[in-house]
Order: sequence, then structure tokens, then C-alpha cells
Amino acid sequence: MNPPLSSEFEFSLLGRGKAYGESIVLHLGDNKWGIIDNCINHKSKESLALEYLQKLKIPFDNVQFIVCTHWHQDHITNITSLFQKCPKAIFYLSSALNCENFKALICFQGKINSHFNATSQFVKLIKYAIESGRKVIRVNQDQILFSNNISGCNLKIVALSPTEETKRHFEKTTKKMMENISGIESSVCKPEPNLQSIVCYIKIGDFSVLLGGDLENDNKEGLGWQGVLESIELSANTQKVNIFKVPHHGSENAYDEQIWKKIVAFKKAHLVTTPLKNGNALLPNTEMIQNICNFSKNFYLTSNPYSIKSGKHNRKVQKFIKKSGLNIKKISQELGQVRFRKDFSKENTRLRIEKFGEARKINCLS
Amino acid sequence: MSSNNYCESVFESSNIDCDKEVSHNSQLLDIDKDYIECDASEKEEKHFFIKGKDIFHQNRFKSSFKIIKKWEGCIEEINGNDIIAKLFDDEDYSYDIFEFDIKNVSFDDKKMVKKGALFFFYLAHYTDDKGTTKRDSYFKFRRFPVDDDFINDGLDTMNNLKFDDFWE
Repeated sequence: MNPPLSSEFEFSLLGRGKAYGESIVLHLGDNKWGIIDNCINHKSKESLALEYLQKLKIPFDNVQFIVCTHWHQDHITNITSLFQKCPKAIFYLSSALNCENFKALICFQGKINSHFNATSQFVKLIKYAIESGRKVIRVNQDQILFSNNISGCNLKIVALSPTEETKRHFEKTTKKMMENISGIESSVCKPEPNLQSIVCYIKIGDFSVLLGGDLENDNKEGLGWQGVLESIELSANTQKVNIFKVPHHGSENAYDEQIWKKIVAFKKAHLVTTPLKNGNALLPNTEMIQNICNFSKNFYLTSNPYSIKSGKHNRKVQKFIKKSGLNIKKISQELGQVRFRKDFSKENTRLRIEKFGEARKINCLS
Repeated sequence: MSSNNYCESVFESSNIDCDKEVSHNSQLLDIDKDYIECDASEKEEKHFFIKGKDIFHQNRFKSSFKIIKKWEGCIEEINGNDIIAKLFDDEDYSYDIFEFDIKNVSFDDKKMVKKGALFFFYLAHYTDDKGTTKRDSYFKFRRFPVDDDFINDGLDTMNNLKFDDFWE
């Protein structure tokens, strides 16, 4: 596998089947890299993003920043280890999390020792950051996270969320969550819809990429995707987005055609996301696949959510499950990657799109 | 109180005072033995405690008991009596979707069934009084007592956590 040229921009979306997790790797020119969110390879237990950099023979010192868009398990798994292994990286977190009630939540809910508890991952991150003296930077709307010159073109990454209204809303939400920590039930709770996620906007000359994180809609001014529209950076740009990482695994609550049309190049943009099996729901569902394909036929997923492939238990467990009539199904977790590269050393170079593993272009269902 | 001091139980009987069990377990978990038998004195019911791992009701599991598989689960969806949970297998870091009926959950645990609830799920073989090996599966909803210790410990953590130093 070849690394990109120093004049090439790269955006890779890495996913782990329908199981859990996504991660984004960015090449920002001159062998400077960024990672957004973390998930792991279930076989090696190593970060998918770092495994990919290893394949390209890129030293981890070249990672300039790590963004944790939000603190849900599928985006934060082993993120402290990622931070440790990238010693020169700046770490960015949503400023909405810098509130007293969230601090209380991590001190109380963080004590629940569970794989499903993203808050305990957050506790590890705080401990490591304080012990190592490495700082974590609060991200606000319209904050520049990174800038570089890539073959004469200015590249900059700007956060489009969270807004000030999001911070106020999250303070109230976490207060309610704290009030619910009572009794003897051991459970992990997270606010729904997700309004705290960082959304990143990458602009290189006339070319742009929007990384939607898991941000959802709330139909209230200043919150969710309505809040993104308030971005000064976004409103200053007349060019529509060329590549869009569809938010929240293509869920209905993250979709708003009117908002998308204001930001993303209708019928022309390349759209990509990771699927997710959440309860009985499979994201994106068939209706959403249709909606997204209607928006643009260039729609990619890191794996096929409707693949009948599934993992297998060992024979003894499989036999036990069958004989007991239990409804337990292993979720497929084949790895997939969609990679976009564009060379800025020459004018009008074409965007190169590559699919690895289980990744595929999704055709319209009709 | 350490993070592992939550009470994990499979109380089949509905008349056990759970708060009492919680404090009981907290003490037991500090004892350096792999296997402890003790009395829940008020109810005169015997329980088996295996340090930090499993607690089996003696009446149900008085003969041999062999765990075939253990998962950690988290409830993701509740539709009437139908519950959908995600199971995590830490042997191979994989996930399963598990659909079950609430009737399979013990009486005492039913009140704990809610979105986000954590539990352990076991597949096991056991040998009954007649020497017959049987299959069994069961839930163990995880309990995390919000008592004075928990609150004081949380507040101490809050006071000691240099949250402001964490951010630049």
C-alpha cells in the first residue's frame, strides 16, 4: 500500500462491519496526518487508524492532531492508547464537555466498570492527560483546528460545532442525567439526540470536505445541524461540499434534505458513512439509503449493512445456543475502508476513490 | 469503594432485601479467598459467592456448575416484553445481538430492565441431583449501589480531579 504524495490530500473512513466503531485518517500534505475518533481491529486489538498508518510506513510522530468528536463508545474505544502512541498530537474535544455536570457524571458514572461505559474511557483519558502534562483543547464553533499549505493551496480545518447554545443545552442534559443516577441499577446512559458532536469542515482552495461526526437534528435554533448553519466560516463559503461523511451512520435523525442542500453539492458530492447495528435497527435503513442515493448516486459504505454474513461462535457454543433456542446472533465485523485522494500539485486533478475490504458503493434500491 | 465493588447477583428468590446483600458483598469481596459460603442471615438463605466473579444461588446450583460462555450485555431497545441487547465477548472483542423475552429475567431483576442496563449473560452446564447434566442460561443484572460510600467517593473524586488542568 503506497502512502500519498506530499501534495496529495487524503480522507480515509475506516469501519468495523456493523459492529461498533469508526475512525477517520486524514493526510494534510507534507506527511502531516490527523486522526478523528478511534476504533479497534477486533483481532489485533490495535487502533484501526494506527494499523493503517503502519501499513503506509508512517511514523506516529507525524500525527499532528486527534479529534474525539464525542464520547460515545463506538468513537472513543481505546482513544487514550491512541493519544499515548501519537506523542506529538494535539488532542481536541468538544467544549460542550467542559461543564460541571459532565465532570460530576464522569466521577460517578465513570466508576461503572463496563465495556459499554464510554464515560470510563473518558476517565482514563483525563488521568493520562493530567499525568503526562499533555493538554486537551476545547473546540468551539468556527475554531481553526489545523492549517497548512499544500502545493500552494491553503488547507484549513475548521470546527462547525458545537455552538454556544449546544453548551447550554448539554449542561442541562447532564444535570438531568446526574439526577437519574440513583438506586441500585447499573446502567450507562447517554444523551439523545447527539447534539455535542464536533463537525469538521476541511477547505483546500475550491475543494471541501465535511465530516459530520454523529451530529443529529433537534429542530431548535442553535442546536444540531441548525446550529451548524450559524457558522460564520460556512456562510462565508459559496462553494458546496465535495465529500460528505454522512453523520450518525446515516440515521433518519441526522438527515435533513434542506440543510444538506444548503451545504453539500446536490447530485455531485461523494457521500460516505459506516453502518451500525443498533438494537433492532440497522443504520442506514433502506429508506435512508434511498434518500441518500437520491441526494447523490456517489454513496459509499465501509461495509454492506444487509450482508447476510455473520460471525460464528465456536462449535460448542453454537450448538448450545441452537439447542436452547436462544436468539443470539454474532454481528459481522469485517473491516472496510473508503479512501479519497486528490493531488493538488496539478490543476484539475481528479478525485481518486478506492475501496478496501468490505467497503462498497451503494446502488439505489429502486 | 473500588469500581469492582458493585453487587452482581442472580437472586432467584423475590424476598431478599437487596440493599442488605449489597453491603454484605462489599465486605466479602475484600476477603482474599476464591470461594466463600455465607449466610444472608435474616432470610436464612444460603448463597455462594465466588470472589469478584459470580454469585450463585445455592438452591439452584447445589451440584456442579460449569460456565460455557459469558458475555457482558447492555440493553438497547425494549418493545413491550421483547428486549434487544448487545452482548460483548471480551475473548474475541466481538458483539452479538441478543433478543429475549422479559419473562426470562428473574423477578428481582425485572425492575432493573431499562435502556442502558448492564448485565452478564451465561451459558452453563450443571448436574442435577439425579446426576443428569443439563443446559442452563441466565442473566445477572449488575447492581451499583448509590449509597453514602458511593456518593462520598464520587465527591472525593470530583474534588481531586483536576478537571480544569485537563483543558488548555
